[in-house]
Amino acid sequence: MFTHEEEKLGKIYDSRIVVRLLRFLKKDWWMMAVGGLLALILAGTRLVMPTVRQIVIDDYLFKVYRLIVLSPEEAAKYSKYLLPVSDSIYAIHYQSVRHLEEIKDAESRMADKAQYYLLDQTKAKEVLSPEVLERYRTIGEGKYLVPYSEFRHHDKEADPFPKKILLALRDADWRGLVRFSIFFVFLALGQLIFGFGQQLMMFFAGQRAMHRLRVKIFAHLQRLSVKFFDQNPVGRLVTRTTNDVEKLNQFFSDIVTSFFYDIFLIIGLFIYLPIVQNWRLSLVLFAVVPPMAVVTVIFRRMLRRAFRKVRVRLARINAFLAENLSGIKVVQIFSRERKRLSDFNQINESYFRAHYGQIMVFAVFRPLIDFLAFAAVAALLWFGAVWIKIIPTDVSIGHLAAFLAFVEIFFQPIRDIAEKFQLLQESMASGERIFMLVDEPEEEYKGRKLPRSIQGEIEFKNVWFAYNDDDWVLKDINFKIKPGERVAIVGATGAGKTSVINTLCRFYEIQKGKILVDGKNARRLDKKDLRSRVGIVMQDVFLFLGDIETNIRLRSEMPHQRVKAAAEIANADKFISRLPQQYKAQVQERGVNLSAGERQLIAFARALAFDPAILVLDEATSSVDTKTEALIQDAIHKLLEGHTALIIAHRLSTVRDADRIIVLDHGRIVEEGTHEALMARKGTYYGLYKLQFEHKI
Amino acid sequence: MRLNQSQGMGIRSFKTILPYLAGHWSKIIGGFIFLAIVDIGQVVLIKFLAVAINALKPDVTLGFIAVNVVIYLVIGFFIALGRYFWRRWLSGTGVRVITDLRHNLFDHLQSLSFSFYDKRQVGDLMAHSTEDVEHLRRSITFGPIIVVDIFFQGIAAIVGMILLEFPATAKLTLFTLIPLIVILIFVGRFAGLLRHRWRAVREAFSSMMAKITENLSGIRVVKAYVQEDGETAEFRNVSRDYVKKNIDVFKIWGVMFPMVGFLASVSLFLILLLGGREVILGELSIGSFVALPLYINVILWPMMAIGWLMNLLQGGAAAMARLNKLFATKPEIADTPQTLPIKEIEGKVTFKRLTFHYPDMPHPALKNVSFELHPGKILGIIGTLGSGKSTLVSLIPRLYEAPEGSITVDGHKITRVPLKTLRGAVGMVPQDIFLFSETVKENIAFGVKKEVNQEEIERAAKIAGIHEEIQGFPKGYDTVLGERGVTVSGGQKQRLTIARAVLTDPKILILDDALSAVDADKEIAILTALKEIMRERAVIIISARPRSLAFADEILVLDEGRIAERGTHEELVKKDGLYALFVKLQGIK
Repeated sequence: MFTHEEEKLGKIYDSRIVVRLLRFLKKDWWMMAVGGLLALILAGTRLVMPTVRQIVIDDYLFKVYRLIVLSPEEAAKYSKYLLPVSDSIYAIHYQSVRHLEEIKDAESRMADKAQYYLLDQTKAKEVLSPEVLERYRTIGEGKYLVPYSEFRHHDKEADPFPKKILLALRDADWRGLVRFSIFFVFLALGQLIFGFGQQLMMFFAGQRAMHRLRVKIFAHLQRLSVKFFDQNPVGRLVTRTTNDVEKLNQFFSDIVTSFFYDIFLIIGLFIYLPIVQNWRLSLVLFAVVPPMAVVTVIFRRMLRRAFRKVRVRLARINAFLAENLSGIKVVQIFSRERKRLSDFNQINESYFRAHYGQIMVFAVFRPLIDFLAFAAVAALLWFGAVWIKIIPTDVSIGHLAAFLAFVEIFFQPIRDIAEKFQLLQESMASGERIFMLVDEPEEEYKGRKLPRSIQGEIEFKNVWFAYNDDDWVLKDINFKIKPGERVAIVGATGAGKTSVINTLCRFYEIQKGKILVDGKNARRLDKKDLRSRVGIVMQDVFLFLGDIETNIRLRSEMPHQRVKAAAEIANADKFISRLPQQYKAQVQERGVNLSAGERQLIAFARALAFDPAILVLDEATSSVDTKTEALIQDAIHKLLEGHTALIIAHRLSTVRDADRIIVLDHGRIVEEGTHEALMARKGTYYGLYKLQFEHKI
Repeated sequence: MRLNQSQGMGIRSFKTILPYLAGHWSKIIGGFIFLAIVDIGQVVLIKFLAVAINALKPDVTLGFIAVNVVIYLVIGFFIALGRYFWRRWLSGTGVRVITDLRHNLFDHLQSLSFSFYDKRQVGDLMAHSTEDVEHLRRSITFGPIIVVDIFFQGIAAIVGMILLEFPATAKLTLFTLIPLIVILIFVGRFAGLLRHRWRAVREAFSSMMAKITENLSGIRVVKAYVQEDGETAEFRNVSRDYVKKNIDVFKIWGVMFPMVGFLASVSLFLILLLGGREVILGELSIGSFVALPLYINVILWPMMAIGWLMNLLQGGAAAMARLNKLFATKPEIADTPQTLPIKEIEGKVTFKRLTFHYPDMPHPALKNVSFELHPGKILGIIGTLGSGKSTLVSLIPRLYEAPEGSITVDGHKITRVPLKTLRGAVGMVPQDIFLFSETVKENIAFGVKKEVNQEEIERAAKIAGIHEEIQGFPKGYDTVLGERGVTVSGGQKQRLTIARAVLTDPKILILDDALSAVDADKEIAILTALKEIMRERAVIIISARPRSLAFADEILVLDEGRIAERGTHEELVKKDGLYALFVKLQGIK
């Protein structure tokens, strides 16, 4: 019901595949290293940003002092935290209260409920009238104690501190704020630059790795045997080289990139928060780790199961569609559309259930994580309040503000985790398929080379060949073609004509017997060398995307004159010269449409341009107009001159011109001789001749 | 402008979806209400946070803070719950709708005629049923969600920020919105350019695919001319070009994303500096100052989502347009109001001076063909390659439409016979054999509507001469065929399809070169068995072997779409024409 391959599910993470993938990054390891380093810096700046806010709040915006009543002994003991205001009343920074270890009931010892700002006296005297200043207590070191509530504008008329004056009074705070704000902007700029740098590194490393991988797959494909291509549809192989590699690109660009950053961020949080920021609030935040871990582990399991179900059932839909659309004609012939629809409905509904299940997993997980984040904020608020108000500790409002930002940072990677799972799983599946292809054994090319110039003698000696097992296509074939001889092979469809060519070029290896080229066993020869000595013109002419010139010389370096000369001999030059762009005219798709006959002439030119000692020609059966037919016949005639030639003949003129005709029937040679001799025999050839050449089967 | 127009048209094309939404409206509306409430709720939440922080003053009781924290948590809980419900209702409905659409698509595809499938690749049709449908799902699900988010979340966040501590925060909001609006312009401006460059990437990707497809299709030429290395070098260029196009995209988004982050940071900077100034000036409470950055997170999403929305809608509209086009394709061959209520046919088929053209083909495939097919008679057809044999028989079950009036069945015009009745009466073994990757049993029973028992299946298999071989399969009749199961030879496939046709007990049996891979002796045996059971039925046998046609009541010899000769085997042999040539060739084998 669904194919093997699609049934394969793949793991979410497969270290073997990852290791093999990373190998493609080896060449650009420095990019990865720089990218990693930048990720580290980036994570660092991200962590420092909330701290900037904390410092600004605690040191400049909201530096709070309280008034506390203490006995002289107590005051003497803790003098370094205290600023004397009057007898037994001292000003103390609200976070320093925790240092008064012996005073358990600190809150009840406070002189009032006010929060004070320490105002600089020299500054104050410059801008404020003495009447206003009289209202505030002074303390040593030349400071006034001003309750923060006085700064607030409740009643415009009675406002003791108009805006302008306030700004002058708190000039130092303002400058501190500006300083840190500028620092903040620099951090942001750093993030911009490093962020870009990191993406740049990862992007290039990924793209280069993917480029290498694609070229490797392609080069590998070139060296796979023809048999492999018989068994694997082109579409599937194209998908491997393009779509699957693209999926892997996601692995590099999304997963690897964010992996570094997320890891540094998480590790950074666990080190930075308790040590640099505030360990108490860190503990509160870290308290969500266990429930989060439990939720994530459960979610991961559920998600994996959900993904798997979705994938299996999607594969089933795909397989069902592929099969039933391919076999639609059978379905319609037997009018089974209803049955097939109800079958499809079942599969479709089961896919729906899986997909819906996956959505439900997300629908539960995401809000659950969100709720945990809300809970973390609530806990921070509550414990922050306790540690600021009830039990004085080193927790400040600035810390609280910073931790609200840390909660965001903390939950970010978890929120993205589902998406990353999916990407990871997809890329693993793609990686597995790609490496399965890459591991496919290549064709063996190596062997002995023929001398520079060869005679072009071909001999088949007791050759047996089958595409599969014992299904013999060639049975005990024996023939010898002398240098310069032209031999035509004829036979009905399936007689084994094409197999003779296929085995001669070693597209397939024969099972028994020997094929000799210039007396040397073809099997032991270097495949590339052997093939370069044999020029093949196939029945269905294959033209590549590109211009005509490229289609003649292919990817070989060849002067234009040689291409043109070959085209001239092949009678192709005339029609090419008439094209608007001549040899640069594009063929196929967007370019000119060549007729079947013209395509054949190009194929002849191609064979000639390579100047092989042996020519193999599989004549096309497609009919062309009489004018082109004459050109083709003439071209074939010129083509074969001076070459050893083996022709699968479909033309009367070709068989008549041949020095010898070999008649194949069901894989055996049944007759051999010249046209006249064979016609006189009135045997197989005679019948074939009548049907093929007179009625064109 | 042009872009907007095409988008407008794109949006209208989504109306195909409307009927599928019927019955889900309560969930859809409920989902959007929840979504809007959640969008607003998360803004309200920030207010409580600010209040709680302001309550850290000595003159406020811990109880007040506790109340605020509890309220915060309760709202948080309802937000989470709301998110659960809208995901469940909206995303769930999206999947439901798309499942129904896929069902109808398959139903529709099944109704389309042979001529449609002749022109289409299965891969394309599959892409429609999976990828396009998935694109559509994303776009109809997330598109409206994003629109709601943009409106409610965006507006709620801005209003919430303004009202947080009016008037101080109003001014701040104005300033902080500036970088965010720059993001909006930025994303909006570059989204167009980005789309453009993405298209170039996709085009480069396509040409890469084309290059590989071309290379692999011509791999024999590549190997024959030893061009492996040259082709690899060429592919390297193509791949490099693809990388280059990706770099062009990176030049935008590689800058865009850090830039968006930077601009968001600029907003935070403005809040820090200007908000801090307000705090110093006594215009802003410290609680509000702490809470302000949280609004930026909330506003950022709708700003960035606008760019995404464009892509989503455009991709979705393109998929929708392709699907609409497919749905608009009408089956060429179907029952019409003129169809007669015929339940059963006898099997008398008459071809009257039939000339048949395939669409878009210059030459007729059949020229002036007349003959009659009678129940109880066997008609043999032989002919050269491309002479129209298969075309001729495919007109009988109306796989292609013959010119009006040229074919009659039981005296009725073939177009008046219900398709189901007609095809139900014809058992056809086509030349290109297709078996499903199912069990042998399921494959043989494929054509029968009612339940069949094992005996009937075995009887059909015996007639087709395949029973013994099936018993040799690993699981007998329950063996799965195809890639996942056993591979069967061409001859076995042919005989399985014959068994399939036989089991339907057809009034007209057509064997289109159905025994070519079976050896001659076996063929005769099968034909003899068939002749026996088809005694009162009409049979057409196409074969390249005259011997297989020897016992036909009449043989048609086709040549280039015409009936060149006709008669019995004996008559034709005597004629010494084309048929005699066939005989001669075969005789020697």
